Amino acid sequence: MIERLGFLGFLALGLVGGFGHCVGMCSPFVLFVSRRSSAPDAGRGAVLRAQLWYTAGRVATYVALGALAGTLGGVVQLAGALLGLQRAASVLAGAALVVWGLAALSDLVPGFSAGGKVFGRLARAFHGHAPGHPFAIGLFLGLLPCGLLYSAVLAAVARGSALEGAFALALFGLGTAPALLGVSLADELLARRRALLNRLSQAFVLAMGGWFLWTGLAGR
Amino acid sequence: MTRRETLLGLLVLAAVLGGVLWARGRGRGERAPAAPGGVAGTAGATGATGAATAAGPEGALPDVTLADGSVEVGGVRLVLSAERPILAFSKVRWRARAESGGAPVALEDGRLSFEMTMPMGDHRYALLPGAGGWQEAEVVLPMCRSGSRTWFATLEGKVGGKPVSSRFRLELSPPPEEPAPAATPAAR
Repeated sequence: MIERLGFLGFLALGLVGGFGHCVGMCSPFVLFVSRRSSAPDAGRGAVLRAQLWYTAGRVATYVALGALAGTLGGVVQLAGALLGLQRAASVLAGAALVVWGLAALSDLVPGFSAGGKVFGRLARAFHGHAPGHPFAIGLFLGLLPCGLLYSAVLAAVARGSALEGAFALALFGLGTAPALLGVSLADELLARRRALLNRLSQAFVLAMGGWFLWTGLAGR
Repeated sequence: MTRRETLLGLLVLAAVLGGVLWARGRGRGERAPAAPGGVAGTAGATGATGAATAAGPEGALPDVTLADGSVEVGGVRLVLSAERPILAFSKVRWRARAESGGAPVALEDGRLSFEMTMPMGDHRYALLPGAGGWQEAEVVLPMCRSGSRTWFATLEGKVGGKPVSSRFRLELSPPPEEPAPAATPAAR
């Protein structure tokens, strides 16, 4: 019998996991949201707004998952229902990062600027179809397969009701916010307007996008 | 202005990295359960394929992936068993018992918890009485996308009023493509 985790425990799980887990796994998405949702000279306020919307979207998805776990009464059923959906989310999110990263880096290749070549076209097509608002991106990326999220959902099952499960997952999601907002702020202050660091973070997003794409396709 | 931003950025980055170290350190601290007034067992441990040595690296812990593991704790042997394969996202029945002189002895307030190097929260289960002196829990463990599949199980309880605890390691198997089939009972 799984032991019941208090509501503060969910907040702590998010906080500790945010630094120990999400910083490693979700930083590329944070950078993606910052770069995609605000112009380079838009300022810290615009970046912060985008990140808060993104966080709100993620938390909304977590709340739905918490309520679903409470309703189904078991994470095994939930996992079975979500595994395929999450793999698709991983492939789509990875592809989005790869396309965005390639488009951002394509001007480094002579004659291959983002103006009219393959990745530029792909990027434009992507911009036309992918969710544009950071809240929508958060809603979608909240579906990414994540072991830490599953841990929270498992604990939410023990709360025994949809309402409590939803509230618990909301606290968990909010707990993950400080670490990811910190990543976003550090990126804004250090990398975004500094050419070399900016390139490094674009390469990082590209590499992580490739990894998400591969793990999603390979079903790992 | 640029210098101030850089310093502020470095400060934020240091805070994030400090948080990462704090989270990792917290996880490690929780994986070393204290047994106040009792015994934390590692010496004399035996795992799936033979003897494991005393306290030390986590690799030396008895491995329960393929067969049951046991640990000698102050004259009491703690045995941990699981249905295999140990699949992620599937209900797996875990059993534990304490033995003395080859016969089961009462394990009071038995608890089983699981954690891994990547912070994944606490997976704590209260053990319920089963047949043959065993105590049981149905456990569901998630899979970490970082690729790590090594988990650590900590068995805690009281024998004769004295706290005892022991740690084991296991490799989690990925979930099947289709909904998990019923796991086969461990060979006894």
